[in-house]
Amino acid sequence: MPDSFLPTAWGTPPFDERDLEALLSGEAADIPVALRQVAEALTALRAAPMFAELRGEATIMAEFRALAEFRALGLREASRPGGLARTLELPVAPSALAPRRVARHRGRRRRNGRLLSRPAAVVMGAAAAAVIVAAVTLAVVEMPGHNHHLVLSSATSSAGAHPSSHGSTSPNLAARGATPARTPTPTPAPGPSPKQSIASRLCTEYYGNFVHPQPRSEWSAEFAIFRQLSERAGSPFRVFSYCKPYIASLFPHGYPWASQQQRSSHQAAAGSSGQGSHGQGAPSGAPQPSPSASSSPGQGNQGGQQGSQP
Amino acid sequence: MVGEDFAAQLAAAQGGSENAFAVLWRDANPALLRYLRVVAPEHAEDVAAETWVQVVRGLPRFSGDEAAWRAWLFTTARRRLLDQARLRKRHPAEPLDEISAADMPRTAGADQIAMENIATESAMALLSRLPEQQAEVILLRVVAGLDTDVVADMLGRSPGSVRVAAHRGLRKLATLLSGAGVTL
Repeated sequence: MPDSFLPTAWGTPPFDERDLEALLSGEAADIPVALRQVAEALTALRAAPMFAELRGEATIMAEFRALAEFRALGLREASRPGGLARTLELPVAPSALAPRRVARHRGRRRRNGRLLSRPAAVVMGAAAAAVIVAAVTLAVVEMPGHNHHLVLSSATSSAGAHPSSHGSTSPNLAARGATPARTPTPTPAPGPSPKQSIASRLCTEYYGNFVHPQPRSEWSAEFAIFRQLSERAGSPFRVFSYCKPYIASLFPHGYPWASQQQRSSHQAAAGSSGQGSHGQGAPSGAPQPSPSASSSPGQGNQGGQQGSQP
Repeated sequence: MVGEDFAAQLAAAQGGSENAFAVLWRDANPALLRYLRVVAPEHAEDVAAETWVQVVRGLPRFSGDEAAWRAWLFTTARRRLLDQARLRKRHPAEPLDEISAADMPRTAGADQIAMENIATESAMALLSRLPEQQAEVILLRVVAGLDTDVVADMLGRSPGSVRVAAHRGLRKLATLLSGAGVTL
């Protein structure tokens, strides 16, 4: 015998799709018996809120209040990216609001960098110019045929160790030759060269003062001429020997500072030879008359000039 | 449900009324938490908080009835839930030490509150035994109060599949209740 007398058809579900949809919609009427427990469970899901479910109200209300205040201030809520993250806006200093400096181009910065190094370039240029000038000066001075130093004649020139040279074209310039020991003797040429004409003029002018003494006011001019002749002769003591070939015509009766013995002998020789007293008979290598040994006015004049020399 | 006052409450909340927004929140937040506690029990509170923050920011721009309001709220919660899932996948968090029930902080009415809400807790626990899609559909239909079309739109499924999933879930829930002898 079977354990149960109930028919097998009683086990079929007593609800359909409409009953299920009614449960989902919350309709509580005509609920099948098989779905009553399910209906009770869904009702529990719709029950009143539990205490824990209302616990976060303060937090969300604070957030809502903050957003409301931001909107009231007219601030964009976009300034608060990231949800709860907030951006604190600090007061901006007026200097920060000033317009930015215009960005300079890299090329402009480079050009300024070059400007910063300009003093160094100027110094280097000046040094280069000085070197070039010095090189040109040396080249001009040491040109072939001009192996001498051009110096301005001055009163500070020493009386000795200045061999004369005949390379100077100006009476104010003295040439210092490379052979100081030798006394240059102008050689009479058929035609007077410019150098000879200058020497003749200076010598004639200077020793002409012996023939025709000038007033004291003219002594400065005589001293200037003597200084030039001293430089040309190489020494003040060689001026006479240097000028002897040019001044013989000035003293037809002998040199005024020559001794009476020499003058007489010179005149006797001139009379015997019949050549006149042009002085040219005096040998160039004859002993030069010492200015200090003479007592003529010309000597005194010369001595006075020598005394004025430094 | 707020009912007929929903439009007025919404307008007041959009105007900055805290009380109006509190009404909306007290009506929707329990349902939201119940939904999240079933779908993502470990991060329900966090996802709910993020959802409400986003709703507050978008509240002035919202327009619609109460159904649309609920649909918007749960749609936002679901998106936040997906973001949380992606974040946990990239940066898995280490669980804290487990605390026994005896060590949990208690309040004066905790036992009483637990007894009052045992039916809701039992129902949520029963729904957690259903497949995820079926439980979610049932929750959205029952707890959120959304119709089939809205739920289908939220989940990106057809209304028919949503309906089928809901029915299957209810049948399985009935089976569970009848077989286990559970009385809610």
